[in-house]
Amino acid sequence: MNVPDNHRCFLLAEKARSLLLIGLLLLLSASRSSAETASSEEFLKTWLEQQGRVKTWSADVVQVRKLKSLTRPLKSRGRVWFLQPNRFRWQLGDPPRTIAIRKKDELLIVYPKLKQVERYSTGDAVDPAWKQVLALLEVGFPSDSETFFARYKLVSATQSKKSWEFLLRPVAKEAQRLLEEIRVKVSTRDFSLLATELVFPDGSTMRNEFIHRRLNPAVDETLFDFEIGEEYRVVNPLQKGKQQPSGP
Amino acid sequence: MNRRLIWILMLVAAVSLLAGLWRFRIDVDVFNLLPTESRMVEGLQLYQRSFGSSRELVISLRSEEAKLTERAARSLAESLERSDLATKAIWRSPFRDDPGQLGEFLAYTWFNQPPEVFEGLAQRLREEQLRPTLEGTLERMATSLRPQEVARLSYDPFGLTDLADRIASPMGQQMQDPFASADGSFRILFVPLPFESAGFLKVRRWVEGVTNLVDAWKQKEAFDGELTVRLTGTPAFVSRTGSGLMRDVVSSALGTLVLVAGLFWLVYRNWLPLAWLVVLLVLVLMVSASLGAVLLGTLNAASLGFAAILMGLAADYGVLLYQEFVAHPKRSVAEHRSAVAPSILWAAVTTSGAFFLITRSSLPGLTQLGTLVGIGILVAAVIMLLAFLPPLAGKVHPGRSLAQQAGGRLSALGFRFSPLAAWSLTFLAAAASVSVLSYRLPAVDFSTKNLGPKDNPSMEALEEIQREIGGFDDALWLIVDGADEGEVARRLEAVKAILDASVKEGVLAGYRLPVALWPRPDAQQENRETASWLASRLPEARDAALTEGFTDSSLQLTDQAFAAWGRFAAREGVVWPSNPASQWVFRQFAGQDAGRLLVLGQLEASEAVTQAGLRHLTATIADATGARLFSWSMLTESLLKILKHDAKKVLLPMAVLLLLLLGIAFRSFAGVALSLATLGFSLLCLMGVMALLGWSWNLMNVMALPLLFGAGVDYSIHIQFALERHRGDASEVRKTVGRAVLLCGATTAAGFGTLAFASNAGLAGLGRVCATGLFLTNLISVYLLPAWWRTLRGARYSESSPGES
Repeated sequence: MNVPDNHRCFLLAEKARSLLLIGLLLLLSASRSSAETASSEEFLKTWLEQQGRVKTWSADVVQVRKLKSLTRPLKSRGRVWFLQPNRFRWQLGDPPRTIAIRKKDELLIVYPKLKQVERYSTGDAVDPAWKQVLALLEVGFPSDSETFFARYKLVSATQSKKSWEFLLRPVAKEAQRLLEEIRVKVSTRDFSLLATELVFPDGSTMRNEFIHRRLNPAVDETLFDFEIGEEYRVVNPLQKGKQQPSGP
Repeated sequence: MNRRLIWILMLVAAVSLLAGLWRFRIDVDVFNLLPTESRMVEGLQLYQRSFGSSRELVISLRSEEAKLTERAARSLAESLERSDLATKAIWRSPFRDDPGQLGEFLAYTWFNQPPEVFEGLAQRLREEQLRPTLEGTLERMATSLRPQEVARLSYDPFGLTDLADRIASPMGQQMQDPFASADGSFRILFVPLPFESAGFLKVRRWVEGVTNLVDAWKQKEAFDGELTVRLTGTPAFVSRTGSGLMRDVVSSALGTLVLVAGLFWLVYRNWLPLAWLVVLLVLVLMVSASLGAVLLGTLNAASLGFAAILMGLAADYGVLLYQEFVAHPKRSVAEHRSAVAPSILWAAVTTSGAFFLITRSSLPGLTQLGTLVGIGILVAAVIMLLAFLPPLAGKVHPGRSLAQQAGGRLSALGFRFSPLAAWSLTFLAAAASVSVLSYRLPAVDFSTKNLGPKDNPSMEALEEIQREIGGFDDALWLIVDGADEGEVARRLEAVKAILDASVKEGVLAGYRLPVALWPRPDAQQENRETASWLASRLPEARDAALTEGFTDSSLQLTDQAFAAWGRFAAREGVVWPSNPASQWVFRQFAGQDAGRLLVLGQLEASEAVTQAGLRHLTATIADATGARLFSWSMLTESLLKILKHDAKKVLLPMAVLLLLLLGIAFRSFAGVALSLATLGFSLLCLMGVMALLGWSWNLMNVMALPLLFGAGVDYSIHIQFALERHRGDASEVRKTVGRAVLLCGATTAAGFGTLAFASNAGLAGLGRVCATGLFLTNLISVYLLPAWWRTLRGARYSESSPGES
């Protein structure tokens, strides 16, 4: 096609202007995005620092599980207590159906109705199942930012009027097989933990909404222990071969 | 000997050759090298041939990414299934691909329980109990902290899997995918052999086919470089061990042939007798192998190592005959034969006798080897005597100088060796050996690894699986057998009681025994009515689950389980799960052998338990139920015991035979003592060399001792007789008999020595020790024994010969 020279110059100028505009826009959006990331990361770090200073913490919890096999979500209520540096007690159900207690060197999961206690020693921390159980329970209570960022990578963050919601992904490939992503919702007002949500690879989710939160309340240390009665059956699920394979 | 007789003998040889070749079968199973009288071996062999896991090729895949490894495993499984090499390739739990098949498995498990347990399930599914049951499941799903439990109940509203979870706890407790490592970057897939029974060659062809397919698949799918694929499992072991053994046998036989031919050429420099000797050696080998096949049936590949040994020994007879032919060129063939035949036949009988004594050993591979060499020596003696010289007579003219030339060429071998030098060397060698042995003795290693290849990628792949996934531990295995399902079930219960007590006593840390899965005919019969009733409850159960919020797709397992109860109720006789996934699972622990049903269990010894404690448990279980308990560690101990017994069985008769032969030969204490001193000193030096080089006594080479004594004693006899004949002139003895002894020793040691390069650790060890031992015995007899003889018996020949002064 024969195009006059001045017209061609105009077209080239237009094209250059468009490219410049697009470039500028991209640059702007990139700098905005990095500013947002910087801001969200900053907030996340501040929250992590704040969490590191928490001595005790307690809240009521509403746990909502959405499973592919169910047409409606499952809701259960419970309570959670936390004691520095890493001890906690979760109990779900009323009366408690499941109690999880993190002690110094082991995690006890108690099923009062079944009269059964599962013992997970910290020495078994390489086991994926144990890691998953710990991730479910510990995600809202990071001990320090270094450990936290060694485990999770910040993917995105959304700010609303009252809160920040962080979307995190496990760093370890092994953990990614068990946990797709984690959402942590933190109050902008007092940096308190509002909710955690775990998304599993099959699309199921488990959301914990924390209400009636109390920072540094007086907590009875006996809460972080459980006296195993004689009526309880104790099992060590991760100790290979130590169980007796007796059929019913 | 007249021509007619020769033709008859040749005809017999040809017929036996054909018959043998017709029957010729090779067995490459390493287990068949172990003593059959050991219950440990019996158990391992039973495990090897009767359970599914032993008939599967295991392919391991490793990459950096879990997703890539999973994609690769799936893709490879599909490629294998599309090919004609495999009907099925299992890369993940077979139930995952089809929950319906899990439904039948669960239904079977419940149906197989005691009636009160099955009735308990029925109670939960009564009309008034349906809703509470479902609410209980939902509550557990809402509050459980075990993700696996939540996932399981999501597709099992009535908790049918609870039972499987409980009874599978020993395996389920590991909470790890049995097909993948914790991080998912390492996976395994199982490929069952597509044929029921097959020889080594067929298995090798199949493994090669799979290997080629894997290579082509890697290139096609562009996995090269980022994916490591390895093969292991019994078919891979059989293929590798068999190929290695066959290669060993062929290469050592050819190596011996070349060495023997080279030595013959070095001494005689004549092509025609050399070529004829090689032809006859091959003929000896074929006739012996054929006769061995006729007498022994299937030959273990390790025993085919006889070929190299036999050629080394058989060549001696040819050398002796040819030496006679060279020394007396004017004599007829018959004269040569009559001159040499007595010594050849006498030597053949004694040497083959020594090898036949090895058949008293409990190691089947070694007894076959002993038999084959024993037969082969007799065959060699006959063939060499009859056939070696006739074609040479008239065609070969050695000439007067040939023997002298040969002597001249070998003068460098040190025929002039003073008694002072001999005694100095004796003290030096003794001091060196004692010093080394006082520092360390040769190790004793009776582990079964010496029966397999030295370098074994299949073993490395298996060890990687053990590291990454586990579940293939070197645990204690238990096989319970019975005439029918009922008998096995009763024995299982009895064994279970003993095992429970052992756990309490701290002998065992735990055990896995499929008591709940093994068919219980009595329970099944009583459960038929309940199963029929349960099958009829499906519509109500479905409606209730849908009402409580379960989706239609989450009820597939429930549908299949209820349908299976309907089928079980209608079926007569003992019920086994019938779908392919269940059958694969059952093949891992249920088997059949000689019409008896077998079940496999796995035990884990506690850390504190001693071998004596395990022996006691083994005996208790065997006495009460006839079940076999076995493990590799117990096998090693059991082999040690058997071999100690063997050593007595073989070495004592050997010692008696030796003393008898020496007594007859020398009729003097000094002669017998000198021969024994030669053997003893050879053994001392051999031990010193072994300790110095870090060699150990193992299952195969410990039996080298009779071979050494049998073959080595000949040298001392020849030398002592020669010393008598030559009035103590050691130099003259070395020039004549010594040279022949050196040449015979060299060919025999070459025969054993080529085995040292075998890829099979056992054969290599046997070859190494025998070759070194024979070499040492040979040198000691030729160079040191004359000086000892002069000191002990030579006083009457006070005039020293010129060469000795």
